[in-house]
Amino acid sequence: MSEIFDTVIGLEVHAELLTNSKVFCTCSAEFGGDPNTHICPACTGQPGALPVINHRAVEFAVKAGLAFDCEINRYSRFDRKNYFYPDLPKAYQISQLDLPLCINGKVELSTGTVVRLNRIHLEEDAGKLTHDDYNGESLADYNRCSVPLIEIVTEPDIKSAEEAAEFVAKLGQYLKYLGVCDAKMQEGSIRADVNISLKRKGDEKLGERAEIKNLNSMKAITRAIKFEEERQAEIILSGGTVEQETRRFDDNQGRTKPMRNKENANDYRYFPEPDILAVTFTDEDIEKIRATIPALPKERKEKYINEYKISENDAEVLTSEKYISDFFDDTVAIYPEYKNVANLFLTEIMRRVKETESEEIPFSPEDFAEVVKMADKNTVNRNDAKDIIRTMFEEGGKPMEIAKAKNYLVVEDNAAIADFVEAMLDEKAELLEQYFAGKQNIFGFFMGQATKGLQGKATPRSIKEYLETAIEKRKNK
Amino acid sequence: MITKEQLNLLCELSKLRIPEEKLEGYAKEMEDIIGLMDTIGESDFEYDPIDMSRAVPFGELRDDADEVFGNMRGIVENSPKTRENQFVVPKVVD
Amino acid sequence: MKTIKELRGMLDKKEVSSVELTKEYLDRADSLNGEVNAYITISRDEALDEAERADKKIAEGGALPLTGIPLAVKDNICIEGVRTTCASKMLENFKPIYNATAIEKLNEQGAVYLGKTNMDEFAMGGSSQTSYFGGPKNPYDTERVPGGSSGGSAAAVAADMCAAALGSDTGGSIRQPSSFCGVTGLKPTYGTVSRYGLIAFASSLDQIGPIANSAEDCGIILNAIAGRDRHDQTSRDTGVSDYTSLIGESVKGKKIAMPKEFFGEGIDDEVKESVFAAAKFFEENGAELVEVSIPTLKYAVSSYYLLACAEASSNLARYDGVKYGYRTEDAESFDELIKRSRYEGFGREVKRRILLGTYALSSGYYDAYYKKAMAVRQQFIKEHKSIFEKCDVMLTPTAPTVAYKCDENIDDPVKMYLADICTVTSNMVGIPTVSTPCGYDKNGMPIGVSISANHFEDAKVIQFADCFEKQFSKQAARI
Repeated sequence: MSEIFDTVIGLEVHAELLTNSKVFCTCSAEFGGDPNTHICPACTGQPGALPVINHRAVEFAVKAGLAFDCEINRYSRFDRKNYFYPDLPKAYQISQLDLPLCINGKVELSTGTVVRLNRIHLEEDAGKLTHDDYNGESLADYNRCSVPLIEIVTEPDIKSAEEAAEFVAKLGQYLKYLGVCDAKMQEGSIRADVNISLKRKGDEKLGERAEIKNLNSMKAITRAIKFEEERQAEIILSGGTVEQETRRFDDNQGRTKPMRNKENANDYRYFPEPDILAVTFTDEDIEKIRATIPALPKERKEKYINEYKISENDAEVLTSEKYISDFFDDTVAIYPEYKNVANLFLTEIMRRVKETESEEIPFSPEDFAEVVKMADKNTVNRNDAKDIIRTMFEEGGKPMEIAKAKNYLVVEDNAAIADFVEAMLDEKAELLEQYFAGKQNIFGFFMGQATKGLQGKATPRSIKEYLETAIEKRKNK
Repeated sequence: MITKEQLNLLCELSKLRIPEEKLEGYAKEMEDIIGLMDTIGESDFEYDPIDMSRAVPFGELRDDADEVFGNMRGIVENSPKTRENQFVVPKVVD
Repeated sequence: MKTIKELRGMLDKKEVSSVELTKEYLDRADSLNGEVNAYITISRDEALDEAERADKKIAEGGALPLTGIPLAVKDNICIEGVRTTCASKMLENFKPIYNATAIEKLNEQGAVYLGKTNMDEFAMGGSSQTSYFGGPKNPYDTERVPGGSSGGSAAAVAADMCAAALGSDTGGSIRQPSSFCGVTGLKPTYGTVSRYGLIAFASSLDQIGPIANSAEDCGIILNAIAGRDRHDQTSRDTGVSDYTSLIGESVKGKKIAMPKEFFGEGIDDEVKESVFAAAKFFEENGAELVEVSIPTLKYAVSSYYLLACAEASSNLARYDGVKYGYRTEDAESFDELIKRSRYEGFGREVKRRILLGTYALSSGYYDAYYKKAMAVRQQFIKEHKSIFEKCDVMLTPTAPTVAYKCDENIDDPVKMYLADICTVTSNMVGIPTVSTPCGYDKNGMPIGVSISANHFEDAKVIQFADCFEKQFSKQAARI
C-alpha cells in the first residue's frame, strides 16, 4: 500500500453452518424468529442442562477443512472459553483450542498469494443484544445461542485490503459450494476479525497489531483495513508505537475505534469441556465426508477453459456460484455446444438471476438446452430465442409451446409456401384485381385460405411474409 | 503468597465483588488452601491429552434433527427481569 | 425402618396403600424436620397425588419395583415446577422448567417424591452445614453433622423420613454422609446415571446415586435410573440389566484389595478396627485379602480440589442474576449487576472454591495446577487398573472419622478438604463405590466401610455390601 510499509494481515473468519438444529442442542438453527423462540434448557444455560454434539455440524466443519486441504485431527476435543457477557448465557463458549477438527490448510488467491490456514474449528454462536439508550438497557435474545459456527484462522499471509476481500469472498464461495454455509453477510452468516500490522519494507520484525472485530460486509473489511493502514502508518511515521488492542469499525464514520468495554481481562481460562466427549474419526469416516464434496470452482473453471474453450472471464462468471455452474453443466450434458450455451446463458440467464437474487432458475436445463438448439438450428431466430427465455422466466411454459404461441417457428418448407401461394393467386386472379383496386379485406381472405391449406407446414408469420412479397411482385408486373 | 492484587484479579475474572474490608480474610483463606494445593507440585506425571476413555466415534454423534422445546415461555418467565420476551441487563457498550 | 423390598411386598399384597405409606412418611418428616432439618422443601400435596396415581397403577396390576415408594430427592436434582435451591440463596426461589432424566425414569416407575433434601450449598462440602437454609443434623446425635454434601438425604433415610433417597457424589457426597448416618450409599460408575438435570458442581466427577437402607435397595433404585440418555453425552449403556443380580453369590475365592495408604495416619483407630473387622468377615467367608498400594494417594486431595473447583468455577459462572435466581438491586452496569449478584447470592465456601478454580485455570498457573492435576488423575486411573487386574474389589474406610460436632472443622477449609482423602479417588477414576455401615464407635456413632470395583461392576459392589449387611446388626438412629 505504500512505499515504506508492507501490510501484514491475518483473518479469523466465522461462518455459520447450515444445519437444521443447533450444534449443542436440538433447537432450530434457522435465522430469525421472534426473540427467544428457538431456545431450550441447554442453549440458555439452565442449571443441570447439558450440551450434545450435532453430527452434521462436525461433518460440515470437516468437509470445509477437506475442501481447503486441511489435515483432520483424528481425535478432536472441545474446550470451554470462559468470559462473562449478556449474550452468553452459560458464561462460557464451547469452542476448540488444542485439538481443533482441522489444521494446516491453504487458499490460493488470484494474486498468486497462498494464504495458509492455521486451523478450522467448530464452536457455538452467542445470542443477540439490542440496546435501548432511552432506558439504559440491553435486551438479550438467545435464538442464535449455540448455532454452529466454524472459525477459519489464517496465518498472517494476506498483504492488502483487496486480498483480504478476495479471501473472504472465496471462502464464502467455497462454503456455499459445499452447502455448509449460505454465505449471506447481511444476515451475519459470515463475519471476519482482522489482525493487521505494518512492517517497514525490508524489516523482519512485525509491528504491534490491532485486531478489528466483527466486520460483516466486504466493504467494511476493505474500508477498515485501509483506514488502519493509514492510522498505523501515521503513528509510526510520527515516531509513536501502535498499541496492541482490539478495535471496532464504525460504518457511519468509516473509522476504527478502540473497544470501550474491556471489562473482561483477556484471560479466557480455556480447559477441556467435561460435558462433551472428544470426537474420533476413522479413515473411512474421513473418506465418506470427502466423497460428499462436489467439484469446486477451480476444477470447474479449468475444465471450462481447457475443454470447453470458454474464455477465462466467462468461465469465472459461470463458476461463481454452484447452482449456476451446475445448471450450465447439466445443459451442456444434454446439448454439448459449449460456447453457444455459454453465450445465451451469460446474456440471458445471468442478468436475470443477478437481478432477482433468487438463486433459482425457474426452468430446467432440458428446456434451456432446447432453446439454444432451436436458435442454433434456426428453428426460431436468435432474437426470438431470447424472447422465449424471457417468457420462461416471467410466465413459465415450455420452449416449443411458447414458440408456437408466439409464432416464432421458422418454417423450413419454403417451397410449399411458394407453390401454394402462387397457385392460389393464379386461381383467384379476379380477387387479386379487386384487392389492387382497394378492397383491403381480401388480403385477409388470402391469408385464411393459405393458412388453412398450409396447416402444419408453415407459420402464419412466414405465410404472411411470402404473401405480401408475392402480391407486391404481381402488382409491379 | 496470595497478594491483594492477585485476589482482586481472581475476583475480576470470576465476577465476585468482595468488599474491601473482607479481602484480607479471603486472602488468608486462599493462601492456606493454595498451600494445600501446592503439594501437587511434587508430582511428576506426564499428562496425555489423548484420552480415549473420554471419546466418542464420529458415527455415534446425534442426528441433526430439530425439535421444539415445549416450555420456552417458562425459560423467560424464570428471569428476574424481562421485557418484550427478552432478558434485561443494564446497557452494555462495545 | 423398612427396606424398599419389604415395602414393595406390603404394597403388592395390599397390606398398605401408597397413600397411607406416603402419609406416614410425611407425618414423620414433618414432626422430625424441625430437629433434623433434612428437608428444605416437603411437597405434601404433590406426594399424595403421586401416591394416589401409584395406588391406581398397583390396583391395575402394573406395579414396577418403585411404584408408590416414597423417596426423597437431593435439592440439586431438577423436578419440574418444584423449588430446587441447591441450598443456596442464589436459587432460593428457583423452579426448574424440566425434569432431570433420573426423575423422568423414576416417574415412569411411579415413584413418590416426599420432598427435596438439604445439602451443602451447590454440593460443596462434607458436612451439609454450608446450606443457606441451615445445616441438617445427624439422627444418631443431633449435635453432630450428618456429613455431606448429601447430608439431608442420608439423614432422611437414617431417621426414617423416607424409604430411600437420591443423592449426588462428586468427591464422596453420597458415601461419606451414608457412613456418618449409618446407611448404605452407592456412587455408581461415572456415566451409569445421566447427569441431565443434576445441577452441576464438577461435570467430570458428578454422579447421581441412591442412599438407602440396604445395598439391595440401592441396586433396585439404580436399576430404575441407570442407562444411556440422549441428553447426556457422557452417559453410557452399561449393558447391565439388573444391578442386584449378583446378590447371594458367594464371595469365596474372591480377592479383596486393601490399599495400605488408606489405613495409615489420620484414620481414627476405631474406624480402622471396624473396617479391618469387615475385611476379616470376608476373609472368614473364603475371600482373600491382598495388600496393595496406591502411592499417588498423597496427591488425591490437591488434584481433586484443583479439578473439581476448576470445573465448578466455570459451571457456576452462569449464575449472574440475568436468567434466573438471585439478582441484586439497583446495579448501574452489567458488570456491577453480576459481581454483586454473585457475591451476595453465593455463600463463602462456594466463593472460595470459585476463586480456587479460577486460580487453577488462570493464565500462568494452568500448567502448574490444572494440568498437573489432570496428569495425577491419569496416574490414579493406571494404578486402579492394575489393582483390578489382580483383585475383584477394593475395601477402604469411607471416612477418616465418625460424624463430628457441628461446630468442629467448619471454619477450617484445609482441614475439611483433607477429610475427603478416602472418597475422592473413586470419582477421579470413575469407578463404582458403595459405603455400608460396619460398626459404631464408643459414642454409638456409625462407621462405614467402602467397597469399590472396576468400571461398570456396580453389581459386584452391591453383592459384596449385601453379603456383609446380611450378617451385620444395625443399630437404629436414636431420634
